[in-house]
Amino acid sequence: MKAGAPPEMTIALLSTSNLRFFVDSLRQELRKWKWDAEIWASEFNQYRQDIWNSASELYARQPKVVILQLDGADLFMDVLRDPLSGCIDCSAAAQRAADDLETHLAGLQERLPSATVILHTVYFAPLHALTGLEHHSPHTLSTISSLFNVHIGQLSRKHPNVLVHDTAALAANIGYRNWFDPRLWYLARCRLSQEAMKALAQGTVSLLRAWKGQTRKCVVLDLDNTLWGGVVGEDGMEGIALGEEGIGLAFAEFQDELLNLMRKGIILAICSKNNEEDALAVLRRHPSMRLKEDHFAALRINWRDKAANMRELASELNLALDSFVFIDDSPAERTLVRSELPEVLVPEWPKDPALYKSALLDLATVHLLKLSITEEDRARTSMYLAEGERRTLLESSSGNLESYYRSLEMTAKVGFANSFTIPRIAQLTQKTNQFNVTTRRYSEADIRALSEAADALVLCLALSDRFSDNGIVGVMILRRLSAGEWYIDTLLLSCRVIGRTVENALVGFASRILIDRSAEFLIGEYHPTSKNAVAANLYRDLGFQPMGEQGGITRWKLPLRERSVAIPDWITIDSSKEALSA
Amino acid sequence: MLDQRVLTAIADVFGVAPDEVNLQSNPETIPDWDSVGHFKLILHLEEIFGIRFPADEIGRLTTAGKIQEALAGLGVLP
Repeated sequence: MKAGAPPEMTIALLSTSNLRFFVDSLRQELRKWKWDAEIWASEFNQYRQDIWNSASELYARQPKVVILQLDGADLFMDVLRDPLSGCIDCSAAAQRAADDLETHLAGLQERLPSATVILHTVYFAPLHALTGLEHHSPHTLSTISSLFNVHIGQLSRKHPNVLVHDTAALAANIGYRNWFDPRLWYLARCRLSQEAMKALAQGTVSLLRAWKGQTRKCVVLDLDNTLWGGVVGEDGMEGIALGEEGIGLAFAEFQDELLNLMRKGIILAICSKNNEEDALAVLRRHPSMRLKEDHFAALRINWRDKAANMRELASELNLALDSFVFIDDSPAERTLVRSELPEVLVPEWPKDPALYKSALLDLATVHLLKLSITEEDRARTSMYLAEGERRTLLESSSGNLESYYRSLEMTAKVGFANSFTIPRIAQLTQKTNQFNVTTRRYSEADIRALSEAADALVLCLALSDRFSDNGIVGVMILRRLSAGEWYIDTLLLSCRVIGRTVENALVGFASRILIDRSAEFLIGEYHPTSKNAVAANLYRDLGFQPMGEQGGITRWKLPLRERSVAIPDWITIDSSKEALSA
Repeated sequence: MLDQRVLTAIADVFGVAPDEVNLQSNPETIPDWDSVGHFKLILHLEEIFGIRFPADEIGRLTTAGKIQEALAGLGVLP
């Protein structure tokens, strides 16, 4: 953070109740993550005026994030005051509030089209006038909050820039009595306790970090007393605590949640001190092991120090150490990894295995949060396993790269962005750090707009080979500068396909398309970052001519009429219309 | 004498030097001690001392001395 420089972004808070105190909690949480953000809170219950008055301070501040915190107790105040008056039509009340919210959201998005908007789910106090009547009679309050929350989810799925913060779940998790402080409500019109404000601030920042792709990617696990109770080398496979009863069930359920993370695209790996054959026997044959050998992308089961093993895992999985979380029951191992590899997140871990599952869910909510699942997420672990087989093949081809490429039998599906591929394209621009020439980050809405623009083209490439289907791994965004000149706004490859000449195929395909559009020159830039050195020589290697350097950025030019980028003949190109349509 | 923890809390919440805080400190002598600041101070003290002030008392805690008396009444200060 530079002194005097304007903050990177402004977060605006609009609410039905007083959030002046919450601003402090949010500011503290942002500081914890070193986010350079300014917070602006409107007066409470002014959100309607703020939204419809184009000259309001809200718009003058140009916030990148708008938090619209409409509390259920305020939205449905009349119903809550007298819930017995007549037979309330719950669906109508929820629908009216949802329609009103949608109208306000539209007004906001019209004036701030690129802002990310956070909506909150609603909840009511668990005890109220209808307690007892609820479920026994037509009178109900819970139906109103449930229906309204369903509407909120629909709004989020309809508008890619709208996120939902599940404050109802957050309030239930810490308990309503801890969440709501009646003194603050009566004296200050604030519906949150101090504890609630902290939880809400942490949840808000976690949500925004997940939205920006700033989450961890890989969980590395110890075995003895972490995935099961006891030491397999001493107690034997029959003696370890892992099963369907007692504390053994705590380990089994902990594994269930790890498996769910894997299904959402988080990579699992093992780093443990055991005899490999003892550990593998448990992974392969223990009837209550939820996690099997092929759920792990990589294994380091040996007696070497764990920091060295973690470094190896990082290079084998091609992930930066700051993508890792390391879970180990041993304080000594945690201390070692923390001091040797400060980038790795090493959470304190409960002594009691009964708390493992909730500790993991707490951790995942902050560091491993997923807001969507792509096909790539679902298949990620099997792709890493296939990568292991590829490495074996490369080693056996004794340095003859061309024969290695041929033996991979690669097929690239290439095409323009469409509704099926836009989410993954946006995700790749958000997450790709290494093979990325300009590191420009785009949201789904940005990509959609670019793909519809008359002077831009968004291309993507999906790669499969004899071992696996990697899904979409390459993105190229082209902008027309003039009739004959096109500029490479973005060119990136997922790290898992680096070193397989895919860039030649993608740029080669793009050149063909541009030549069809009578383009003469293709301009590229390389913007160096701390992570993208691997792409530094890309344009030179593809045959572009240097145009000079300014402020570290090198500029390159390819005269399409004279030189073309050849698509390697070991990659089969499928650019049919159906190629990337599902 | 003003209790050291109360003194530090007031200095921290309002960003004033500890030697400017005494038993007589009040919203007139400390610029940031407005209605929002008052709640920030109350919540901060509740966290430090692990107590809760009754709602009807919060508005009456208008000087550092009165806060000290209230904390004594709740049994967390002598």
